[in-house]
Amino acid sequence: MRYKSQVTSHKSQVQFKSKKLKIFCFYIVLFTFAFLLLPYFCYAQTISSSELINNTRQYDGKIVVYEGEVIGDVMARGRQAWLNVHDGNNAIGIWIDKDLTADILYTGSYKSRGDWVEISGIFQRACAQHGGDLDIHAQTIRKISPGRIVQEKLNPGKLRLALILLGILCLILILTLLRRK
Amino acid sequence: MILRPHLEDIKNIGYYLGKVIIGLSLAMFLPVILGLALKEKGPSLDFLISLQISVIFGLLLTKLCFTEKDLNWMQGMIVVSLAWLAAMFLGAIPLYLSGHWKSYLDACFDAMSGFSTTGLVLAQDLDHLSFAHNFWRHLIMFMGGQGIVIIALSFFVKGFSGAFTMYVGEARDEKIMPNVISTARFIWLVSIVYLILGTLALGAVGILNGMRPLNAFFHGICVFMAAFDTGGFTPQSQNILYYHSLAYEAVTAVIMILGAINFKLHYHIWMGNRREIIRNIETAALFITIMITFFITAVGLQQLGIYPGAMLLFRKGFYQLISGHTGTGYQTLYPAQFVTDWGNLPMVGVILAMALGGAVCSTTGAIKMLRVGIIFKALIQDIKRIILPERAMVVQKFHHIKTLFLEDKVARSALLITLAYLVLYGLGAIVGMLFGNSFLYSLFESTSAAANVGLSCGITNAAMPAALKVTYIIQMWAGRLEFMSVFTLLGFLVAAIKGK
Amino acid sequence: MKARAALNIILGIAVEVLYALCVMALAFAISLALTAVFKK
Repeated sequence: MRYKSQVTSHKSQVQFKSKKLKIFCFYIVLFTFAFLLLPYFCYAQTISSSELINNTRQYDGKIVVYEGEVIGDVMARGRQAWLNVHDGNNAIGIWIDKDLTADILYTGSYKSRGDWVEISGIFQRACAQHGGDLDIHAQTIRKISPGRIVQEKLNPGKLRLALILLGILCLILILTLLRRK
Repeated sequence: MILRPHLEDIKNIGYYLGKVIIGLSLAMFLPVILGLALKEKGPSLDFLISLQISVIFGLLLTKLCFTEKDLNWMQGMIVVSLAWLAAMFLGAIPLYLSGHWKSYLDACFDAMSGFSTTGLVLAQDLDHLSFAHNFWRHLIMFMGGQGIVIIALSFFVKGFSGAFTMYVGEARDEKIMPNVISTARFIWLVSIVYLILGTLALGAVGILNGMRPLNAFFHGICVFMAAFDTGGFTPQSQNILYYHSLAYEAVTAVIMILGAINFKLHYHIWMGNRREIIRNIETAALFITIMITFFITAVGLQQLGIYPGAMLLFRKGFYQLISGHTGTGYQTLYPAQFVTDWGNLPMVGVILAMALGGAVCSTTGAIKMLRVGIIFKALIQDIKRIILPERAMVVQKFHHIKTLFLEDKVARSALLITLAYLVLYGLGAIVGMLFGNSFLYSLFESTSAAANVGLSCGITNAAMPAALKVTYIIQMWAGRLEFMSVFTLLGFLVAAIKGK
Repeated sequence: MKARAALNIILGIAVEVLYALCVMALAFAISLALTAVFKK
């Protein structure tokens, strides 16, 4: 009896395990399909600016994830603001809620590296709201790495060259003065 | 028989070339001062080095080739064509030292693009370029637009007859005032008055757009210099798209159109002859050709249906068109979008606009409106000659400041220069095609370079072959100088080799 | 005399800007017309 019950419990355990496996497989298939269908609605992985600019029709009106360095000024326009985000090849304009830009401390210029941000939002090939600009209307923004002030170092080689040239210049001027006398 | 040039010729050319170079190198003081004021030590050093090299070069030329003789026509023309080449080589030094250009050739390309007010860019990582270097990029457009030699001329106290030959050599065939030096100074007056007004307008719009005040006014002065001199550089890599602003586009469009007006016309309007703006053949021709080319572009864009509203069509279609027609080259599109979004007909409309250009004696490039107007009038005259009885005298007039009779000589020279431009556009397109680009895109880029426009459909980039870069440099140079001084230089070289 | 010259310059600038605005206005009218035609 005891033995029998042991056998049935073992059987049910096996059945239970195979059921679990089936559900697991079902989920995997479901996820795979969902993953395959995902690009029709949005693009989860980061897309480069060149890819966006060269395939405007494909991405038009879709949610994209884009990342890059904030450059120039954060230009506030009422409750919204414009950011320009450069990913190394091109910069793309980002139309964003002004409150979401509070985190941005550094923007790229000669003296600083801007914050590196990840943006997800709707890509527009010719935005009707903004005079046909190619832009992204951001929904979320995430700072990936903060920017920094760039310390300027004088190149000693250039400094030496400047001094040598100054010497030559003085020599020419002195020579012309002597010749005139 | 061709005569071999004398040592005298070379000495004369060298002396005046040296003078122009010294004048030009003094301009490098401005970025040095700006760099020091904004605590940009590295860039100031770059400019100091370039300044020293240029002054040494100029001094050596004036000392070695010292002469007291005046320039003759041939020498004046050669001085001009060489001065522009020297300006390119010397003006490129600070750019190259900044490390933002991949090679010295790239820096030369951008320097020639700046001096010739073209606006094609090979700079890397423009958004991290210093204020001093950015100011220099725009300043060379301002100097190139007025004419490098004009700048040097306005420093001379007393006039000399050779000054006029250099003035003409720089594609300024109209004397506004009897004296060339006072003409040069008047050109400066117009530019400075508009510089102040334009910078204030752009700076105010910039601040309203949310830019920091320093940036707003720095961008204001840079963008003004490049727009009024129909250049096309901006301090940021996105060009005008950076600003995302209708007001900025509107102000720059007005400045571009002002830049496309003849300086002689500016003079007469400013002296009270305001009706001239309606009567002048150039403003009339400009108005008509803008409308025709915009119509072609707009129909093409509407066929594709990418800009559904009138405002979108105006902001995208008209802005690129007016930028092309005035030879500026400001873009609110990415270069690749011309190819992916615009298609053939809109591009043809813009190519036509670029090929025509603005007024003569303005800062624009290309065939120019006076010639277009004269050719049109000459065509009408010829048609009249056929229709009317043989004994009838057909007299054609045109109004440019005063009413003039259209002589065959005038029509002939207008047609010759037009032909030379068409050949230059075509040759550039062929070279572009040799490197595997399609016909329309090659023609677009070649016209943009030769007409000193600066719109790009993506062919111009740092990775393009060196031969193509050199081709575009030659096109920009020859197009800006309107051929005569370039041909004179070539003739001089031939005479030096083959002459007796 | 100087005031008159200055006034002439100001009016001259106004006329030139007006010309530029006219060009833009007519171009905008063309855009409006074409948009209306292509909508049909």
